[in-house]
Amino acid sequence: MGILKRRKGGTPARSLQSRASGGDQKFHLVHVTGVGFAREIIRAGQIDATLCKVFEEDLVYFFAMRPAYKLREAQKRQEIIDYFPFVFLVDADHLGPPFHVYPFDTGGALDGAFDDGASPGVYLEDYALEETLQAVNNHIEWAFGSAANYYDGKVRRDFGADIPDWDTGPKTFAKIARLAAEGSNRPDRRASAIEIAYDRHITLDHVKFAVLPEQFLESPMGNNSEMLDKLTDAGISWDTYQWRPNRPPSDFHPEINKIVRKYLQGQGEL
Amino acid sequence: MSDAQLRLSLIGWYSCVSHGYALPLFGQSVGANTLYIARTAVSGDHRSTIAAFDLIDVDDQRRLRNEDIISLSVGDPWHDVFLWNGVPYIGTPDELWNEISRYHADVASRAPLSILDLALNARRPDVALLAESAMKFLRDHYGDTKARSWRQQWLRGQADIAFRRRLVRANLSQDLSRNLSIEEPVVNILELHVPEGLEAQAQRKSTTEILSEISPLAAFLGATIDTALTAPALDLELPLSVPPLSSAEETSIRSDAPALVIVSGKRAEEIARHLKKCLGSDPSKLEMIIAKSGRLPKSIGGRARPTVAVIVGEEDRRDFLSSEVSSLLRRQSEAGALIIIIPALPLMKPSRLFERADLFETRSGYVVLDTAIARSPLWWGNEKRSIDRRISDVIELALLTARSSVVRRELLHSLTDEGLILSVGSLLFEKSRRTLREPALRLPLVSEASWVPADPKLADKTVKFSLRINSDDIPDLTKSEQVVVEGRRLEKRFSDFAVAVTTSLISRGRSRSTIDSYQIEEMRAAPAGLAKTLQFPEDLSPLRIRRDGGTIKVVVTSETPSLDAVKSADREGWDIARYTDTPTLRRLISGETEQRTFPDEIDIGKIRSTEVNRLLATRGIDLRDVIRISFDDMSEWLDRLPDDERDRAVAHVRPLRTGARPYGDESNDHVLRRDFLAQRSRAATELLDVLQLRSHAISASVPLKRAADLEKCWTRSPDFQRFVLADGIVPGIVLELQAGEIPSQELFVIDGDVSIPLLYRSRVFAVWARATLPKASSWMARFSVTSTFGGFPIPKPFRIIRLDENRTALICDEIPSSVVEAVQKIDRSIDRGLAGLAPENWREAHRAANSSSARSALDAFICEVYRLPEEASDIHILERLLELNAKLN
Repeated sequence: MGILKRRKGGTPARSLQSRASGGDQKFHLVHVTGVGFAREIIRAGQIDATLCKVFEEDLVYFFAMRPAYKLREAQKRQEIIDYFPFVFLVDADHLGPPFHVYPFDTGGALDGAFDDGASPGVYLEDYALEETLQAVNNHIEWAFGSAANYYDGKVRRDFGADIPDWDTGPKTFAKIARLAAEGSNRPDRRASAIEIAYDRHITLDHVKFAVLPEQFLESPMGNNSEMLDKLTDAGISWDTYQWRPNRPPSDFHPEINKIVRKYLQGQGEL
Repeated sequence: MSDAQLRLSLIGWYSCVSHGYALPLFGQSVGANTLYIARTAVSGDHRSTIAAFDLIDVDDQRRLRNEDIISLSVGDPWHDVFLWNGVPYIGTPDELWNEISRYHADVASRAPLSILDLALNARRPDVALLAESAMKFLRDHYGDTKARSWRQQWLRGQADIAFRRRLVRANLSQDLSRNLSIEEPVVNILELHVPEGLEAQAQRKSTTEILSEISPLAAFLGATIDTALTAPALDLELPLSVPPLSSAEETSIRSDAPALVIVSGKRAEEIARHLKKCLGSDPSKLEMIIAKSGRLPKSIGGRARPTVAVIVGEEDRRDFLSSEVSSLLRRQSEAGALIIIIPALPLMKPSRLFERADLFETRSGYVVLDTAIARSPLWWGNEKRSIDRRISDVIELALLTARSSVVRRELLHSLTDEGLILSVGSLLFEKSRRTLREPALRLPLVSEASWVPADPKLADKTVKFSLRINSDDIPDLTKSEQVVVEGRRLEKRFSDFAVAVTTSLISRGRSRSTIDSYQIEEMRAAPAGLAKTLQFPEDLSPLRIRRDGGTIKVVVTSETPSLDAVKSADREGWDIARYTDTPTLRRLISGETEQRTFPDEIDIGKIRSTEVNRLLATRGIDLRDVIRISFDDMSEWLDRLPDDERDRAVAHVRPLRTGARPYGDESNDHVLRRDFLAQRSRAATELLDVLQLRSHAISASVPLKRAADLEKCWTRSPDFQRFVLADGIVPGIVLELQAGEIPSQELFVIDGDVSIPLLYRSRVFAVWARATLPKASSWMARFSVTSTFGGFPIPKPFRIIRLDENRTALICDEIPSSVVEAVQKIDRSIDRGLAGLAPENWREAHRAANSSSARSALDAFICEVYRLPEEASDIHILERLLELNAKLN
């Protein structure tokens, strides 16, 4: 458990809300999962909402635009999902209001991944944004200035400078968000990836793009082409990344970011 | 990292797909729960060394077999796990490339990207061709844009590794190369973008070296590459010239035209009959001609065909292929055709074509199809099909696969001095998911003509290529089918095959511990003198099988053993059986037979058959020749008739006795002759009316299937008893028919007296019946009127008397009363047995009665009649019967 915890009482400060007014830019939501789960999603035709132990609700998690991964920490085990990620990009237009919106990955936060920027006096709920997609645009405008900067994890150059010290919520968030920048000692793109959760299953017709390992291009047994056919039939375009058994995730994750960036640029979102 | 983590065992793998490179998993020991992955000194470089092991959480990993596990240390070369056809191959790039050499063509056809990586990592010159195939594959399947996008990514990966190697040598961070990119400003013209920091660290010289490394790769993929600064002018056009194909090359790749099949010889025609039913009816797929006496019709013309197949009968051993056929094949081969020689398997021996490569050309493009796979006990297809149908299945599959350009390329270019044998097999996908069950992945394509180990990891040098073809590649295949095609050097390994067959028989239906208690040992020498009695003495495998209950010695042969061969083996204390004779092999393995006997499949040569003996037995009626009526229908019908007509109608109805349930409720199953319906009587009209309620397909105008048998079964001499003998069951099951009963076709009718149960229940008849049962050409054992009855010698005091032109009866004037009593005792024993059994278990009652003392008395009398000692062995009895048969007139 890290420094950042859930509030057990009292009213959340929600001090990051309405800090700025962003445009009404449309954006995609990104769901990163392992290949095994992705097969099941494609077979079932939906991304299932599953029980979240933190919020005790059936939820599906996304990040706004950005494929964000947990990066390796020394002496910690890696997980197979890091080696075989499968990325879905979902059109947020017709999903309705989200269950919650946070300016970072809540799971990583509670695990202590962002402790370098956190304060024991600020609780998870204090960082919550409004439960709307507009809140995402507002937050990007306030902290990053543009969607492109947000995608790269680059907060505004002077971000946090004008926040008074007593305003601990925004102040600590400014510290946490900088952990996602490449110049950080422990770059973790989850630290500033805006998390959006829905409390319902998301059917494949909302998915518009997918990124998967290149092994799926070949189908000696027929089952891979069947999966690609299902994606195509569902109107989902896709691209592949180069997977090698001796490449650490930190090597090919940037490739996935590049592919997603290209897609979002094509959609006019970046 | 602890010392323990400096050396770990490669114990398993995880993969997101079922083929190609997998993620190798390491552990401290075979069953370790804590798993690690290896990190290479140069990320992504398969020729790099292991730099460290990192912990990983994996729930669903696969484990290697104990014998495949290897121990690796930090500093050792990187080892890959490569999956193909469900089998994990482990090794360095060079080891992997060599280990799967026989699957190269298969991997290239179904996973062209994976084999490109394999070849590149092993630094093989094949990269040039494979790169071209990879691009073609991507273009064909996903379009040009995706293919070019993949090319950029792939080349970027290679440039990245090249930079990283230099960065590691210079002790610099590999992360510097992360932002390396390749762009394609103009189609097929690529720019390598080297970030400033990397350029500075790696030095301009390195960039130039790396460009020269990846430029050939780009060229193989149809592009040029340079650094962004010196990219070629935008209007540069790539010279793309493809040399035109020769006409022979055009023919060789033109696989969609119909194949020509030449049928040469009587046996070939028997097989081709079945082929005609499936493929022959579609002229777009197959054109079939019969070469009568080796002559070809003039209409055949001289146009080039993509595939010419010859089904060759071996009736004339001097001249397998006539000069006319040989000359046609040569012309077609020169014009680019694939020539498939198809041995029409002789029923009782192997084909000489599998061992005589000199009988046809051993030049490129000539292959012999392994049709013998059809009679292998490890046959991949429907076991209930007759041998000839199975052979036609193999031929059909081979002709279909010959339409695949990948298969054609391999067959047309795989040449060995010894000739090439083509093995084909079909795997079915599971219905619910398009995946193969794991055991099914290892299709045993083995036969008397060609054998390779079932374990694909035991790479066999005789295998020239091994391919799997999906329905996507051959439109005529069903969606749920995958075809395995292998080209092998023409080389028999009968001993290995015989051991594999015997092992499979031991494994079937036994527990692991029981299987482990068996030991098969191949003996050095076969019984002395046996070779002289065989036509294929080189195809025999003397085996010693040890099990808990004792040891057996059996010679497994490729041909049906003659009586001389059986006697020769018997003299030395050996059993002998052809590998196709699974009932005999099973009996021997399980130790069911106490006394040595001859095998079920035995070649007794040509036997005589006399008309008077043949007429003795008549097969029961074909049920399509009568109207079968249930008791309820019959009651309804008769109720509709006035009393007088009812009595007349009842006279036409006969109780039916079927072979399946001869002791069932007789009142429930009756038959009438079909011509009864043709009468314009009220009874016939009413019957039609009743039956129309239940049946729509009864017509009196359809010709009878077996009119003569119907007639003989329907009429009966009042002077004799009527018995029936159950078809195909040894020892004979004889039961007496009651008045008016009509037997169905699973029963043979024999008229006479008590001689019939006496003779046909005897061990002497059992020996004869078993020796004359058909040999592995059908899955159903059936007696033959000609061999089983027509050839069975019946000596005095038995007499066959002629009743009329078409019927005879068997009687005996001098049966001792003790023998008659023995027969009656057996009947009573059967009746008692039946009383305690369910009707469907009627055979049990007969079997039990066979072991009674009365049966011994019966056998003793019959042995005396045949002048055989009471304790005569089966082999001795058969020998005596053949002696008597030779004297039949």
